[in-house]
Amino acid sequence: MSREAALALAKKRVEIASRCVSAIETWTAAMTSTFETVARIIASTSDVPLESITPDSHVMKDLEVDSLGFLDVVFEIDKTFDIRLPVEEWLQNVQGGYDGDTYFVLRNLCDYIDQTAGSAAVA
Amino acid sequence: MRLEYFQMLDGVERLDLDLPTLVASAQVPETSPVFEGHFPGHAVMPGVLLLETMAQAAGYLMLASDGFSRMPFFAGVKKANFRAFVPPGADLLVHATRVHDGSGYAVVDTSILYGGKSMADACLIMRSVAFPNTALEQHVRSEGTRLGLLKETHA
Repeated sequence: MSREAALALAKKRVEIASRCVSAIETWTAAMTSTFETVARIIASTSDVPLESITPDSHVMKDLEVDSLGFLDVVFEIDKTFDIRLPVEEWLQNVQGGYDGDTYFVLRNLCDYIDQTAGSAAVA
Repeated sequence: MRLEYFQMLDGVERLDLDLPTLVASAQVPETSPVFEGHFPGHAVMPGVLLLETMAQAAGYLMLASDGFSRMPFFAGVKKANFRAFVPPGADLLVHATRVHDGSGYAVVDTSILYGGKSMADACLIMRSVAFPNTALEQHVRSEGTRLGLLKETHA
């Protein structure tokens, strides 16, 4: 390989790596933003201290938000992100034996919010 | 109103399913054992019964919105204000407007007016679930007919 070709290849690789980093930063920023917003909502509608809320927290099991408290949380999320979380379906699924971590661990809840709010914005 | 039966609304004056909003009439009885205790020598409607009145208006708004297919239950109060005494015999208008239609729940702004003046207002959370049994469903449908939300059916 000539020196020029090697240089061009190296530049291409740097460009691709730069794009990847940019995409990861965008995704991380979106996740952080959604998580921070949801954590603030939980802290403001319940007695849970903000600093004790992590992306791995289960809203009910770890943060001990009860069903009525969770309705308050859902109402604020619905309003803030202009979406309609399908909590009734989720609770029915959990009663039917489905793993609630899919819905109620904050990391997964924020993922769902991002997907739903994103698709609503596109539509 | 028939306080001892928790029958707080007398009739639906207006229903607009686009907003959606409902206005119902409710006449406070002149006499009731409730007033003997609340309060001796100064009869006024208890705030909890005014709250129940607003919750029932919110409930019938939800019933009308979904065709009486699910039972609304009073689940929470985000805020409530009791602004003036409501005396025996007062002709009340009870307003309910749904401000958020969630999944299995709704948030409803409600208020009670007497002579055009706001006596109480509250922001309520209502949960809706499948009717727990047919007896309750029949009772609620019968009340819906009495209030003018459903037409009478003859078997």
